[in-house]
Amino acid sequence: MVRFCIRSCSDRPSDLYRSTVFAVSSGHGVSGVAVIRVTGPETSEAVKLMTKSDNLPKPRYASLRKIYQPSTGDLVDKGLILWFPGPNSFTGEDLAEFQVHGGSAVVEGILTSLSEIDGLYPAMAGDFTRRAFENEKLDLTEVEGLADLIHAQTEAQRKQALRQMDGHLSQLYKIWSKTLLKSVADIEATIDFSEDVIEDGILTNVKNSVNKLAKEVRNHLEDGRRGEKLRSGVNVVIAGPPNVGKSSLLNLLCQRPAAIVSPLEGTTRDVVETAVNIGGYPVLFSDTAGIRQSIDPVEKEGIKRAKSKISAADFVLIVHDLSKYKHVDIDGLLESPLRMLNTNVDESTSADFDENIEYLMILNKADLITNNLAVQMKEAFNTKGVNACIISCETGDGIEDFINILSQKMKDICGDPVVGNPSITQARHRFHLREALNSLEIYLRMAHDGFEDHDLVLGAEELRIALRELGRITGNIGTEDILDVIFRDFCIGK
Amino acid sequence: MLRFTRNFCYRLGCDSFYDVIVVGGGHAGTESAAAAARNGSRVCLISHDLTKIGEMSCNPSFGGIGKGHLIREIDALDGLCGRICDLSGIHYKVLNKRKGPAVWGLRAQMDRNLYRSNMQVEIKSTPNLSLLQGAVVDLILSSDGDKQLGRNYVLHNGSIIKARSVVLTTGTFLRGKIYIGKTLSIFLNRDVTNFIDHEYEIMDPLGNRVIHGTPPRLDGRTIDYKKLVIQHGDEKPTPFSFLNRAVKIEPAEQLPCFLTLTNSNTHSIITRHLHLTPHIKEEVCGPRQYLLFMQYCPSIESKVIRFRGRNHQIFLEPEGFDSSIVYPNGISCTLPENIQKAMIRSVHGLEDVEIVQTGYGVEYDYIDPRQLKPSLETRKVSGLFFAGQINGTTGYEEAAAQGIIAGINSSLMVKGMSPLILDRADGYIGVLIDDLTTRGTTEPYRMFTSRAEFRLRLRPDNADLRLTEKGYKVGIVREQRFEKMVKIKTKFDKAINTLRELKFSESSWKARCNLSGMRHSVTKVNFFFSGLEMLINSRVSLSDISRGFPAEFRDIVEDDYLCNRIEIEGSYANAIERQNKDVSELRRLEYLALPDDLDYTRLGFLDEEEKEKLSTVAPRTLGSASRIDGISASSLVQLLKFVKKYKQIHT
Repeated sequence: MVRFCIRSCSDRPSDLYRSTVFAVSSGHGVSGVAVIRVTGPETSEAVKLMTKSDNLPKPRYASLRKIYQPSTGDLVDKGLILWFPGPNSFTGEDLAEFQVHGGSAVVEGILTSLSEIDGLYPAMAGDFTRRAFENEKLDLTEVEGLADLIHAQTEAQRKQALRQMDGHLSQLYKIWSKTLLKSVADIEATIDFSEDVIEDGILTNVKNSVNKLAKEVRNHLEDGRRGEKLRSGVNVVIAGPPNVGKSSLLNLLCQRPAAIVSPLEGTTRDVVETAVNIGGYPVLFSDTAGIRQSIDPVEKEGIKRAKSKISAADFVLIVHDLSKYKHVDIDGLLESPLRMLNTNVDESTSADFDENIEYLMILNKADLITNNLAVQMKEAFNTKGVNACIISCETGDGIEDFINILSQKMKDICGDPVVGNPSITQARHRFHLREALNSLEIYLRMAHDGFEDHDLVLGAEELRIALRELGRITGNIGTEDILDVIFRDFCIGK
Repeated sequence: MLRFTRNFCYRLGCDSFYDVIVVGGGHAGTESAAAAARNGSRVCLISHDLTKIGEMSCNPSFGGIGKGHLIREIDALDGLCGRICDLSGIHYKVLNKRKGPAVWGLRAQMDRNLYRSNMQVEIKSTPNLSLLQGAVVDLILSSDGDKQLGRNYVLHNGSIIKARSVVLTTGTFLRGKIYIGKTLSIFLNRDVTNFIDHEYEIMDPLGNRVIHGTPPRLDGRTIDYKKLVIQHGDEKPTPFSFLNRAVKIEPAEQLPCFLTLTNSNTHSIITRHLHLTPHIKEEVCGPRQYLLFMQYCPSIESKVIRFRGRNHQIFLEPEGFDSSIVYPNGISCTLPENIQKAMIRSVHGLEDVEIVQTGYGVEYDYIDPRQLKPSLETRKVSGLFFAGQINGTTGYEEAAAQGIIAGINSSLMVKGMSPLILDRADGYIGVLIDDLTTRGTTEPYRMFTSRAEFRLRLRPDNADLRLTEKGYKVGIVREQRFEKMVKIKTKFDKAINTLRELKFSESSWKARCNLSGMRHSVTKVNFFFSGLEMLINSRVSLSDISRGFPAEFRDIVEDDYLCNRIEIEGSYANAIERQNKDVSELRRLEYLALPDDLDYTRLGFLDEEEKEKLSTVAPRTLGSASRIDGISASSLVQLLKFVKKYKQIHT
């Protein structure tokens, strides 16, 4: 007699609580077209929200639609939507495919929009395959092939993404997990060992700690804005004294005469903006009026606008005319690169710039000095540890290095779309952080009323949820970890 | 085969062929034997001393936080310990009463003698269950196919007891030794070396070797109670069993406990003599072959070492009506006799105390429970089950919980039926067994509520609604209990549905039901609240709601017991709803069964570490595979393939 190891008293799991998940299914990095799949019971609702329409596209036909971010109503992209009602779909459930432009900004935008819809979750590794499998939609070879694809979302990849996230960020998430783990352990200790643990003080400490953590997470979510930059473009401002070649640089970057150039100082008076793709990132360059003392009211207005642009910039290219420096004296240049930009034009417009604005020094007109001097200048900057590019807009010398450095900068600002698909990582991190924050805030509201009115177990549940969400970013935190902290910090046991 | 020395045979008759043999008469053994017998199997329980059946060898209490949950679940499956407790409890106290009902810890002090005799009466009157006294010395595997249990078992003197499955619940007897101080006092089960060797052969690799300390037992007549803090039990005791609305011993007759504290004198006596205790010494200088600082049941020595300068509680617990012995809970130790005396006499209120029995250390091996299937059957030998402390757990309740599952499944196996397997969303029993069989344990495992992901739904109050029907379906819950549960469930469900359907705004609720001083729910910002959601509020009761809707709740409003249960359900309803997604995710993975005999070493897509881990655990389902640390998601997807293959073959 064959004995089955299939559950004895369970029927097929019900679909009542099946979630709806989404993921990029077209591989990593920048590609011409990106495919994002959504599957599960909320799919039709998601499509309706994303297309601002109550009508679903015709099943199994490619339909061109405008795609919006439901929370803001902003247009994200125009793309093809394919609607496969279950069970005739890859997963056997309702499924929709968004075929959109492959730029990281668009992909990020779609993922963010989807994650903001109630009941939608970023797919976990293997989710799509598992659903397909459960609904008898896969044969063996298919499972095999898909395993490779899914590899992109494995634990190893998660770790890699965490590693490649800038060190500061991964450190931050880990510290948060650790802080929260301690709070969870404290609360769990008062629950599981109420005879051994004296509660007084613990609840207050936990409340303070959670409050501080919630603040940090909230600020972090509001601050980063990387995804936003990816969508709307990074604001890069070209600034510097008059007639150093700022407009020439802009024209060189966009490969067309976007700005008027002339040998005369003060040619550019208004801000000239151009969107350029730098290494796959959308960058919005703003060429500004050269900054100097001026009495011309038009030029003054231009300078005022330039300065306000600089204040709002994500990144500033400070351009100087190298030919004005006949010998290696860069101290003046470096004393405070931004002070030059602070030159009082008019008392009323002289807002000081944030010294923290990120910038890159561009030393133009290298063709006008000797090679030797250029090399010496370069070395002088290196010794000072300052990023500087020596270029010539006239001959194109040094432009390649400059573009590489600039791409790297844009990558730092936006995240790297080539490595482990960071737009996914990014959206996923934000999703889990938001969920964690939500639970922390519920806990705080309960703690505020006091746990005489609220069940501490429900409060503890919120903290456990928050810890699990953080764990999805930093690696799982299990019961044993909680127990370890409890037994380390409390003397427990009869 | 089991070989053992026969001293005494109880009701053996001429029938020496059984369906199930249970070896051991402790808390795992009794539940095992009774469960298999309830299921209709002919069962023989073999113990080296039948008078010790139902003995509480350690602390004189049952239950606690997490442990009380287990007792309720065992009771829901028609197990014994809850009912026996209610006949023998002399001091009932629900712990954690200030927190939510999900973590209330049902607990009671027992009269040791009453518990033992009540358990023996129960066991002796259980149909289909025979008792046999003797030491089992060997377990003989059949010659046909080396993975089959022999279906017959041999006594030491030549007598053979045959059975189709065997449950081993031998507790601390695996290479067991008892120490007082560092002096080896006795070898437990010294005459069963063959048997032990055989167990090693079957169970490989081993888990860990541990030493448990026990406290010295005190003569209560020499305690100065006037100096101590008295602790009364609950005015209205909460019974363990769903069958009881009251416990046997009247609250007025129940006995109090007392509380005292260690002090710096006590601590210095202990620290000065640490070199005389076997387990601390090994920790410092020996190879780490013993697990010494057991966190979950720490000895007073380790508490003093790890938490310097702190005073530790000692609960002085009565052992029964007819006993003057007092059990000082909180100071288990392995110190020599004279040091124990000095130590205990340094404690406030115990200055003149006499020790009745010196505290001793028990040293034993436990097996690595990852060699067991979730049914608690060994993977190596079909028909052989392990339950209780031998699997690396501590506590009567943890032992009993495994016992009932091993008992049910040994019987179901004989009948050729699928085993009863509880998952992590079914109950604490499911959490316990899943933790043991998929993660193993590095020290004796103890139940905590924090181990349960679905703590809000796995409550002591609803264990019957969760489990009784499951038990009834496989035939271990008797008719009477099932009917009782169904009656409650019908009323319960009806009321819950009614509450769900009543939806009003907050002000409307207040007006209709005349609620005052009510705060609204934190987790929801909805305008409308269902009646169920109103119950989340600790200041709203079902009788408040029935004021506004007398017709709807007419038939239950008088029933305090039922109202209370509904209120508890209501207070967690929203949070449970939120967890449902996680539960169905869990179950979906649990539905994907992996073949038992999958050879992981031959799967190329696994790395070496994964191969080793999967081979050790042999997960039953994709779900348990996913809970093993360090198995990558892509390997899990590859494993889907084998699920598929398996399904094709078997369906």
